[in-house]
Amino acid sequence: MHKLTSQQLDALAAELDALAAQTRAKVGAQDARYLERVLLVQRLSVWTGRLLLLGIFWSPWLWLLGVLLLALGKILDNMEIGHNVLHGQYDWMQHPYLNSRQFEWDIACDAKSWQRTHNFEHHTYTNIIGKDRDFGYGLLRLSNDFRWRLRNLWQFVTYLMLSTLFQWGVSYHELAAQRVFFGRKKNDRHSQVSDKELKKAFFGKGLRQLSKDYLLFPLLCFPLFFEVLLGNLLANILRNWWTATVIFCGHFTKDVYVFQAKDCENESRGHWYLRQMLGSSNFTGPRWFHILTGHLSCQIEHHLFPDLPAYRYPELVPKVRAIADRYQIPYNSGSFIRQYATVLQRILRYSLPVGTAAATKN
Amino acid sequence: MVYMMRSVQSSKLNSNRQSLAGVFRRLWRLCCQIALVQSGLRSYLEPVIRLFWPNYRAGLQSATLLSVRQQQGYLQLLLKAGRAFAGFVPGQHLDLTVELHGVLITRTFSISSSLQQFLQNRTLQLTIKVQPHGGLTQQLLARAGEPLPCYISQARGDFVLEQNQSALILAAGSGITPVHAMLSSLSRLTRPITLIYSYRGGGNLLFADSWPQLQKRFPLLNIILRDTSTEGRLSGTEFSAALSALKDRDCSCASVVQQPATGEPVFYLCGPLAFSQYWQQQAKALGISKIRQESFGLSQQSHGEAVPVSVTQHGRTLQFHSQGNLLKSLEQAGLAPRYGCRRGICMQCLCTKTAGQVRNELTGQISDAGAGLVQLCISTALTKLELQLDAVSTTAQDNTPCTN
Repeated sequence: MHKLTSQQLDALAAELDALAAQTRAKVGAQDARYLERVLLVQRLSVWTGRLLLLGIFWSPWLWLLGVLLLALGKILDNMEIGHNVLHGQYDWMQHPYLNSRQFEWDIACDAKSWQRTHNFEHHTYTNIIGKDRDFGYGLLRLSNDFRWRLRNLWQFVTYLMLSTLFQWGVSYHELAAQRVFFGRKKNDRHSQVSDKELKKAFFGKGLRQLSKDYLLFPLLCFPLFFEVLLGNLLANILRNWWTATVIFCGHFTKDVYVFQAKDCENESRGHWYLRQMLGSSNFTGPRWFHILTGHLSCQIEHHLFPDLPAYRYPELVPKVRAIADRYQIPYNSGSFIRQYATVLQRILRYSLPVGTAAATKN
Repeated sequence: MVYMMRSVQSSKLNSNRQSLAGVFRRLWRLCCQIALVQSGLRSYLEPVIRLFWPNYRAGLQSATLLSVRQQQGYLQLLLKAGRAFAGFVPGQHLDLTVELHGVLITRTFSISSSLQQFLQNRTLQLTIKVQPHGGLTQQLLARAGEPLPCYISQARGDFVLEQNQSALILAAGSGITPVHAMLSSLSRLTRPITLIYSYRGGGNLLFADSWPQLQKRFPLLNIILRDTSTEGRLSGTEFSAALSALKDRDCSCASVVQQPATGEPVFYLCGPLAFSQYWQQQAKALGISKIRQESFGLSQQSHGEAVPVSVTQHGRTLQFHSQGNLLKSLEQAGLAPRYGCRRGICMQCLCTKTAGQVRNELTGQISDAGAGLVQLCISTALTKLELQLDAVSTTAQDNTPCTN
């Protein structure tokens, strides 16, 4: 792991805390207006999309446009709105329902379950082998810290399937960790939520989503039942591919660091900050591209300041980068294509029992 | 004393109808959850509706802020209530929500204007003490004249005048606001009322024009205005004298209207916390049993000493004292709040604060005094605090790790 003395770590924490405070002081009406605009675009694209699905009467191209708009609506809902609101980034607005306790999103995963695995496990223990189950999702071998198994041989296919069914993977994530249906309970896992409640949330939210996309809306457009059903399915898959790709680019690129649990016991705030910078990777692009990724293209800034409105991340990028340079901390950023290529490379490389040790710097 | 009690009557619903409406509401909620993934249609449409009606907020009733006037240490807000506002019983309070810099700030205030004024033109007056460091009052002052989005809740509270009862009212400072609403809404008076209103310095005398008018209209009303900066605080003997004078007048009044004397007058108490506590003790010592009271103002900020916290969970309320970290002190009090990282990252321990101030241990920031969300694991209670915990299951049965 990258070495900094404890004094340097404290100084790093102080600088980043100051940057957060500086940004937090600016947060206000502008951010609230931005969120509202995104919500408006999301509502409009979802409903235009749903209406255009009926356009298959006139032309399949209208239907296809409908699918794309519906997918766009779902992507905005999941990434720029859901992900960020559920992180508590807009809790300062004291809005009755646009807050991390009340919001629910258009995805198979129950918001509360996601908050436990993502906000707590992933953001607290980022890239710690064995503690951050988001590193490989218990399905993919992405570093030599994991023992090679036969199933890793075809993990590229597993990856493609996971991407396609990503919302269900996210939804099942906590139940898999708690061994609700399969496997032996793990001794070291502590949970405040019973298996019964996990199952209830999983089936409840899952069924609501299934009945919306594959029953309610197709039935409402009855003569076009299958066309609408197919449109919804395709929109969901497009959204799944996009979200999975963005998320994989955030933590599984070539130069991302992983950590051992023993190195992170009782870590200081500075150490946590350092780990967030080393364990995440950014990619570049125009503003609209950042918005489509829910600003997870600024994954490093997101991991440093998960509760600052994501809309502020692009303006933080140069400042964080300057701090990283000063402490000689590697800042992992590149074009989307380049970063994604290294993700695919990593998945392929570790599917074989011999991985190069250089890829995971410890 | 005749009041319209519209809001009280409307809540008396047939229990059968209520349960049917409850089922219907749950069904509608489920439909919205399936089709819109939100719990309500209006909240889902809010961003769209706001395109045409910029002040619209789902679940909040909009009110128009007509004017903000300053009188020494007080602000007089004149509001026009929307159609959904069902009226009030004088003496009741409501929640005022103002949107400032994208934040919806909510505070509870007593209505200080009369019911007649509301019935005439649907306007309400709120009289607010300016807090030197208070976010809301300072902002209202700085942005007076701007069209600020305002919302009001329905009126509530049981600090209202009992009909056909003699009354002794003791008010201090901004505690006069509900009392002014009560007295200026009177249409007739059959029993004597004595009001003793203490204020500090002539400029802080609220509703100065109203008192002589009320005194003239109702011979049975005895208004004693007391400037504590020149006359000093009300003493126990003066209080007893006012009480016995009131009882005498009640007896003579009873013989005129040929009704039995009401016996003991009702004692109304409204003012700052310390004032209310002091006079409540005094009244009890004098054997007064019918006491109605309401306290005002922010409580003092603690400097490291323990502060009282009341936590509501599963409909039950637990009270204890908290010192230092809130999450730890809640756990020490035997509660099981939800938690995660315990260092301010994951927001798992976020819970609703209905009143009070906390300090963020990471940033040093001091919260707003009204309702808001609090990260327990990095917060310290600064003032008297009210929290609401979500239900969290502690049934670990299903979770017992399998060791074989």
